[in-house]
Amino acid sequence: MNQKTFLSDLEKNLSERNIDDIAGIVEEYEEHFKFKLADGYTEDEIAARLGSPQEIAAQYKPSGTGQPVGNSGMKALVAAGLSLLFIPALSMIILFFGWVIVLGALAVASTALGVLLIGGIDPVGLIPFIPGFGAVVMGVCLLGLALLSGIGAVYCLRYAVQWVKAYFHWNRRCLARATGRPVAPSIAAVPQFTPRNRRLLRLLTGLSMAVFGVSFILGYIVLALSAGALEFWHVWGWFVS
Amino acid sequence: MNNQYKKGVVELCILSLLSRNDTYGYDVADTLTRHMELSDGAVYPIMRKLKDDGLVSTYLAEPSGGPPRKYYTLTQTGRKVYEAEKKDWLAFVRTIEKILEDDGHEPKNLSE
Repeated sequence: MNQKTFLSDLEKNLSERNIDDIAGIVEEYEEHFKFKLADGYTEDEIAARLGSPQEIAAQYKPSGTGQPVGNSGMKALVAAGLSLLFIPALSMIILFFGWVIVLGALAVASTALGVLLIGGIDPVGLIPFIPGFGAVVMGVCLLGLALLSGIGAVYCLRYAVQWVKAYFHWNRRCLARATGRPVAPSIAAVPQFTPRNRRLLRLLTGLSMAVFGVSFILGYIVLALSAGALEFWHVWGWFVS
Repeated sequence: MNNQYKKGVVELCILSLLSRNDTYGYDVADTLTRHMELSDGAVYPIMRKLKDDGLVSTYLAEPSGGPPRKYYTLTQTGRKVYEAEKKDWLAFVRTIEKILEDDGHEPKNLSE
């Protein structure tokens, strides 16, 4: 088959199947012939290697199929729904970041008190009576808590940020689907850590939990022995005004 | 190479080639048919489908001292889809490799 026959057969088959932009498609095969001819192939060889025009035309999708209904009515509906959904979503976002602030504050406060107890200093005079050794142990316990809540704050922050990103990305995908535009793949809703960071976080979490747990038990025993009573805070009048 | 494996992969390969640089249809088709057992005309309909799906777009440009030619480029969505599908495909291939290598029939070394 020569080039002219091939291209006109192709054009005929494409129009029979009601394909869009036939001229553009035919042009591409014309270009293909041009390049192959320059490489020294004959028109017959090129046509043979391309295959039958009928089979090629069968691989193109006719216009109007597979296109989802992308009218402005659908988009308006989706947009309205998403705007309404934003109110509870905003509450979720506030909640997440609230957690970050709370855990962060806990980490800071525990660090401060832990350091004071270990150092045995009481700059503002607010720390009640607590014997030296017990104070140190409890100080260590608080530092463990500080590390634990610090990690919690970091994780919550990463989680909150990722959740926000995923939520707005999901909004964009819904709108794209409603208007028949291409839809980007979804992104993860949970934070993605590198394997190294994940191992580090796990190690630190385990470590801080161990430190917190062990020193709390030890500290309690020491303080109870010092006071000679299980409820040593009564003996030393901690919560008495 | 078996036809069934090819079908799902040609799109991925087209996206991969376009992710490195924009080029015209023949360039993509020629590169792929040289490396894989594909019929010459198989690539063009697939590129048209990628364009209809919004993963690639075309523009006219004049290569140095020549007539204007239609160039293909990845859209932003196309790039994201490519990255996601590339990851999926590579993970899939690694899993299959592991299964096949564990079947107890290791290819014999020449020295054995």
